[in-house]
Amino acid sequence: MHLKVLLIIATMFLGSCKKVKTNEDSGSSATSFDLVEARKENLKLKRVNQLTRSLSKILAMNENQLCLELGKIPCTSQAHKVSLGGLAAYDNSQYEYNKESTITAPLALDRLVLSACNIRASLDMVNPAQGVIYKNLDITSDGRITKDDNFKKSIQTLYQRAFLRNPTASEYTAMENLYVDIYDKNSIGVGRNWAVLSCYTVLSSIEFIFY
Amino acid sequence: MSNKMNRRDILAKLGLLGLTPQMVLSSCTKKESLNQRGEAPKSLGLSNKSDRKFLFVFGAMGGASINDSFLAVKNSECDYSETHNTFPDEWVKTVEGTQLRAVDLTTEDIGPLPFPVKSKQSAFLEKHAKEIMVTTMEHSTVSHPLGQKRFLTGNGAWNGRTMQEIIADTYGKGLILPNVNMSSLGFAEAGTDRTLPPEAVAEIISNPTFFTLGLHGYKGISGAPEDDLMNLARSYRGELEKNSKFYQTHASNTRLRRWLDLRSNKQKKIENANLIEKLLFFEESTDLPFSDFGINPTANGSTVRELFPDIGADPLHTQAALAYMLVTQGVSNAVTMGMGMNVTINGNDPSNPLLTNTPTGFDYSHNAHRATQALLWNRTFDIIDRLITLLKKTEYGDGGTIWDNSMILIATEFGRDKTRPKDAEEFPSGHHQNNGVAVISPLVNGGKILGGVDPNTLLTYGYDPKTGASDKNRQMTEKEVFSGLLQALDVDTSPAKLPDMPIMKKG
Repeated sequence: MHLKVLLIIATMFLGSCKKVKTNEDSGSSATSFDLVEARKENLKLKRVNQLTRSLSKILAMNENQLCLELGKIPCTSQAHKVSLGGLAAYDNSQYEYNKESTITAPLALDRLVLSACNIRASLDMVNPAQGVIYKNLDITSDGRITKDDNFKKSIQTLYQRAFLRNPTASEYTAMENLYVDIYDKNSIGVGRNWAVLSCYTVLSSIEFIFY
Repeated sequence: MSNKMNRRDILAKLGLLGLTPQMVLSSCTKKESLNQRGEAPKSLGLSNKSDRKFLFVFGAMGGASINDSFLAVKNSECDYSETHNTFPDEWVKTVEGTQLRAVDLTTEDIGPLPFPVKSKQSAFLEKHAKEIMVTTMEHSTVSHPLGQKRFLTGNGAWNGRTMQEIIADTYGKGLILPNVNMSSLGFAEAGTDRTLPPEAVAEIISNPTFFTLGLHGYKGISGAPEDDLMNLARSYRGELEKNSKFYQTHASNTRLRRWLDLRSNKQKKIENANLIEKLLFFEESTDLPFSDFGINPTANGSTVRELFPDIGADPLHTQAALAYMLVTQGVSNAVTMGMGMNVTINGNDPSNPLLTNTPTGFDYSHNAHRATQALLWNRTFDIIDRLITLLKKTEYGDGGTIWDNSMILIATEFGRDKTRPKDAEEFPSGHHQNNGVAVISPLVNGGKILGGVDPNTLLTYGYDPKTGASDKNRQMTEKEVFSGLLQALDVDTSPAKLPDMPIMKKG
């Protein structure tokens, strides 16, 4: 009886020592296990304070800088606070959170993220050496970006800061293709537009706003 | 020795509370008295014929006492007038053809608050008497949030749905934001029926001044890429998401599905409808330089600003103006607004600021019942009259106006005490379950008081729901009032087995 128990425990220990293969171990093409869909409804939408703090940290910007309607009305503390899942307890005696995301939430989120990305991209373009995400991008006189190591690094930095992980090969390719497609639609200011929109694409995605 | 503060002290203290001079002392461009407002109908862009009904709920926060307005009792009618909340006979006004009453009074202050009150309820009554219906009722609680919620749900009569949710579900199908709520506390709470379609749940608005600026994902953002580039980025976002491990892991999550649905359907509808401009009733100015951000306010804004000249500074003007825009632009059909708990002051004349909301709304009756009730009933009537004026100006359907299909409900959570210290002209009052409710609508049995008030106790009593005959041994419940109002709006209440209340509907 005791021997049987010991054998089972030993088997469990040995099993746990087996190394689980991951994409990082085996390269992006190989998968050691299939993704299993989550069975619990435990996904939550970030509320306004979480969004503000996350964006502030990722984009290295003051919370009040992120988004100002008409250049002066703070989006997260005033204009879109409730749409983004906040409470107006002191302003309007509203003490209950919305149970689900509001209808206007995706619009407010887009505005918040786009404003913040717009400012981050501008700051990085004005002072490339001090760039937080788009550091030392080689911008030509007609606004194009040279696809050098700094370009690749900026995509990597964006994903690392947003998700604490590297972009996958397909995500990296998509970001490159985004640049090409923007150029095809409008070559003027393509570098800046790519910086704004790559940031927007990542930081308004479900992976960023849910946890 | 007096503890009263002067107006300057009050303004200084408001500054400490974070109310800036701009918020408190905003200028007003035009003031009109009730009888100066125009009545000529005018098309504001809504022309499609429809059977939609529109519900406006005005949250009279804190206990609006029916004994201080439509059911006021004269001193001469009460055997105990010196100890009951009755009024000098000459203050109580009536209008021919109805038993509805109004109280006109003037005071120099509101208890310790040195602001004058000039209340002329009779102006409202004279103008709208035929469309005002008052039903007596007995609330089930004297708690503010509970009372508010129970009033709007008929104390849970329809599986916990609010009246606005029912109207949005019944008449708001296809609208972008059928149910919008700008109110506070229990008036702002959602119902509890989980089977309610999500479209009928209220969109909460805490700040009506800035709400419209959030009705587009990128328009009005300085430096935002042009439309086709934004669409391109959104398309990339969708593809990247679809292929992500995150999505594959959570693909069937309810919250995620709702988010993606809102983004791909509602967001597009709102952006395509250009609501960011259509609902924007503010005027371009140096303070609000919309054109610098590529936004053009609606051309109808001047009509709205004429009736609500203090939009931006006055929360109720702003809420009512937005309510009007939401309904007339075909966005919503159930809109809730109301005075909140915060102090508001009209500082159009800096040397003579006027209080427009007391601290805690009608609940300031705890400190100064008579002046608080007079001030806030008057304020309620003023806002509603302005809204009705606009609704009557707006063509709708086949030759009618939008007012023809509208109801304005003055919602309150309970009444106030019926007694006062002997011969006191000003006095505090507590909460009381006994009260009555006022509705203004061409759809209700207007010009009527359903039930009545005992002149010696000031307690209201009920009536027969079919004939309307007064019944001194009956009290009307939240459920009955809830049911009657829905039936007046032609809602089929049989699924919830609500009581039949035909007397409340216009015959």
